[in-house]
Amino acid sequence: MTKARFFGFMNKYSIYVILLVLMGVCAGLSENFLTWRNMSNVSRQISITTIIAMGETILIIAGMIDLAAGAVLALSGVLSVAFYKAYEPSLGFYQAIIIALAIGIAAGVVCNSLSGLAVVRFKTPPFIATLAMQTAARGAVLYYCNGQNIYQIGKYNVLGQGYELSWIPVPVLVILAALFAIWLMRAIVRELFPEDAAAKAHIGIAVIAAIFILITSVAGAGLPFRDYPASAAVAGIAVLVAVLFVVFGIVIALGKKLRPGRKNVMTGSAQIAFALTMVGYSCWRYFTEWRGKQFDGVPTPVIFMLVIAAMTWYILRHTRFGRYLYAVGGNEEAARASGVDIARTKFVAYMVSGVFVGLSGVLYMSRNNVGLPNAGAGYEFEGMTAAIIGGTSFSGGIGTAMGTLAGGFIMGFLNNGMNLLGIPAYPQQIVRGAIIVLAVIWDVYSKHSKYSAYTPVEKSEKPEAPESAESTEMA
Amino acid sequence: MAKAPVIELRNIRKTFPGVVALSNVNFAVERGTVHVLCGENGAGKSTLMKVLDGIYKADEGEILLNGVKVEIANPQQARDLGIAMIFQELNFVPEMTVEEHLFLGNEPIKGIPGFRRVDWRTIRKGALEMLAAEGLSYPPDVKLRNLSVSDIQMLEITKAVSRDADILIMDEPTSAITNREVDNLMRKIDELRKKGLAIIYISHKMDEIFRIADQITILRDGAVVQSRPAGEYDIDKVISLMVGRTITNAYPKEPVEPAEVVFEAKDLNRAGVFHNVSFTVRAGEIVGFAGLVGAGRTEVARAIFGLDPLDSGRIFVRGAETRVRSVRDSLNSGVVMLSEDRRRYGIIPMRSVEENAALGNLKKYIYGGRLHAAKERAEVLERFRVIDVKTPSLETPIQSLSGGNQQKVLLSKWLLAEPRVLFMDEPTRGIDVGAKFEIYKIMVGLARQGKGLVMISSELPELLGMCDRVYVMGKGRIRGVLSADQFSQEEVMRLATLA
Repeated sequence: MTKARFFGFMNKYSIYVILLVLMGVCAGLSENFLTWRNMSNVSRQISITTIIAMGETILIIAGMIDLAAGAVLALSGVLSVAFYKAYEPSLGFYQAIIIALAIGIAAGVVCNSLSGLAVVRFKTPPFIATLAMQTAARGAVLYYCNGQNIYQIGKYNVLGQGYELSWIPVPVLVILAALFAIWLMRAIVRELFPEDAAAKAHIGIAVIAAIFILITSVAGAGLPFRDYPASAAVAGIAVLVAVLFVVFGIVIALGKKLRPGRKNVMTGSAQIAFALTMVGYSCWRYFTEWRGKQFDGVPTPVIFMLVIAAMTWYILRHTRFGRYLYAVGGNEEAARASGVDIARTKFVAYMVSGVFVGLSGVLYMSRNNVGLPNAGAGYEFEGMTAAIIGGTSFSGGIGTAMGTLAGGFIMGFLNNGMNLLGIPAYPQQIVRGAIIVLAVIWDVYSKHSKYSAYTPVEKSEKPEAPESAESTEMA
Repeated sequence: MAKAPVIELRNIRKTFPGVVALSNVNFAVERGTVHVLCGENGAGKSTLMKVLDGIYKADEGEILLNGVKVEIANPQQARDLGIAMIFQELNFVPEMTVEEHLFLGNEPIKGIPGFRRVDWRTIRKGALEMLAAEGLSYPPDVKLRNLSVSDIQMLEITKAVSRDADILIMDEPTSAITNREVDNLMRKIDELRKKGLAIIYISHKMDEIFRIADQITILRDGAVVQSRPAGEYDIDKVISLMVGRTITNAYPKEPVEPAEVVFEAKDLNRAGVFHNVSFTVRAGEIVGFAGLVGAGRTEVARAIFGLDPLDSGRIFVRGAETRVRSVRDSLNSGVVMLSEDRRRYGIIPMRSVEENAALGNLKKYIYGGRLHAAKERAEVLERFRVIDVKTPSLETPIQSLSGGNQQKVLLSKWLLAEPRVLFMDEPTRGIDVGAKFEIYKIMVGLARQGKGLVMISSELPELLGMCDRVYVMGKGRIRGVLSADQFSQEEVMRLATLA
């Protein structure tokens, strides 16, 4: 692995590395951090703003913005709640909730379509158009409610407060987690060492595996370290790393012996060793701690968040519309000259984000068990913050769904960590502001560094087909 | 003339990740001379100048100003040292006015400390003087975005000269201006030379080079091939040194039997811009459009392509009339246009070359609502191979590529859209000799395939060498059409300047 490759990797994936580091730090601060309960809570806390962030990501990539998301959240949510409360007696639960959901989403789409119309047809700058919508929507919802909250909404809260998927048996989850870790490791190794994975690969693998084990061990039961200071944990991990080296060394030596002359025998064996370690570790944790426990399930809003994130990822990566978003945001004139329907692209972008905002409104009211006309104030900015931390650029043409998701989690874990440290609420806000600026500075700095893909190069060679075919883009 | 060189670069070495851009370059310019720097794309000319301008820092080597070693850490320091640079890709803020631009970074201030303000009076006076001295007709409060490329370039030159530079660097200054303005420029350069400035002039245009050069340095692959007084060279020698091989035929045009009419425009009109424009293009033909800047050629092409509105007129592609209301209509009928300003209308700078190339015809790669990445990659790769695009990978952002390669990527984009008629507006602007030749070859190949090509160009030799017929436009009308044997510089000029 060369310096250039390491920095290139960091440039592309730094957001995820920062996320993992943050998780590690928080795990070190408190043994309750890496519990399922805490993860559940944090994910649920960020779910609504992250859904909004996905909509903002789509818009910002195309060079636009939506300042009205919070107000439209309130409007859609309240309308949805009001419908449900009024019609549940006559239509029954299922019909009422489904139509209520549809109404919420529709409200979001209508509001954003109006913003979109102003932007596209009347050439209003998006900032102004959505600022106007924010004011109007907030006024509308307060007017509708007469300024009062809507209470006693019955079973409406199931969307925001339930848990899903609790029927999955814990062993299956353990296997899935191990498989995910294996896939992740292979992807990372492939990014960092594509040509010569050989000897260096297993060092990297061992280190990362050790870090993973360190984190999960310090945090939880199963190892007799809970009452011991962190230094003891570190010592224990050093032992573990040594063990891993030995294991890997044996496997690699065996591999060399059994399959002499094969070029990537070391990579293969190192990866098998890692897989075995992961599986073994998972089994051990299962039998010492996780067995007999019931899976609580994933909070319903989190499921929505992940589905929306997946949809956004798909739209941005795998559809023509997504490409057009990047083109319009990157250089609108050039996009027009390439045959892209600018007006349609922009309008649809607003509609899609309208769906997301409407949904977030329903989830919000559901989670808080009340129709709240003052809901969501400032949520659009939290959404934009997640997008920016995740690498979305305000100058347009740059951004990813996974990055925004990571940005949302970073914000969530930051809040979580600060709470664990006992930092009071107002200083927390100062810290949040500082993080936003740092995120942008880091982003700009990495784009201008020597190793960035964006630095102009005077000489270049022909394209290498194998390398581009194998590039793993996580976003 | 044994004068000490006013600026000297010694043993300059500059690398980027994986690439040696400059190796052991020695370059010196004497006072009161014009030193021309030639080389192909990627030879290192722009890099060398950026080292001089403080944009890059050399890894090794030193810079001496009048014999004294200096460090140039940023462009501001370069300015302070008397080095003025005019970029090939013009840098300007569209919303600024002419006078603001002329004094940008150098605004005269008046007033006592604590109440300092910009002295607009002096700026206005200075701007008017400068504009009059250059013979430029527009008022100083015109916004830059309302000026043409050539106007802005003249402005850049004026601005650089007004800063009392000792050393003036010009990177392809004539790529976007007309012959008359080129004459003005040459005269200005001569003036500056007599005043004692040292001028570094990067160009591929052989006739210009030999008009003004005192010394010629040829760069190839980041190293100096040769550096001698201009009198010791001729055109062929310079070209062969630049490319490392002899190019015998500058224009690879082969005669093609023109077939059926593949494109026809009838009575195109746009109020105040062009009138009664009618022309035809046959399959296998390369039709040229000559004329002075401002004659309306680009505007006609843009209107045909659907970027600008058309007041009246009819367009026929392969005999079928098409109504063009948007670019998409034009693309659907098989007409594409390569814009003259690729930075503004061509590239999506931060996106990859693959995305840029696929943008013209993404429909082709959609199956069931999903973008078929493998098919797209394969086709783009193949197209790049045929056109010989040089890029480190398919994911490289297009802004990282050299101008010539960017143009090739854009050409790939249009070819992937499977066109029948290609409008190419200044297709070889800002591109070196080697890459130009490749683009000519591609054009000839397309013509042989039966496509119809329209080439708008301000380089008369290029039009003569490549076109079967040339329409000459002037003041928004077609003044005449010349076939290859009727073609001459004088005839074109006569038609272009008809009242």
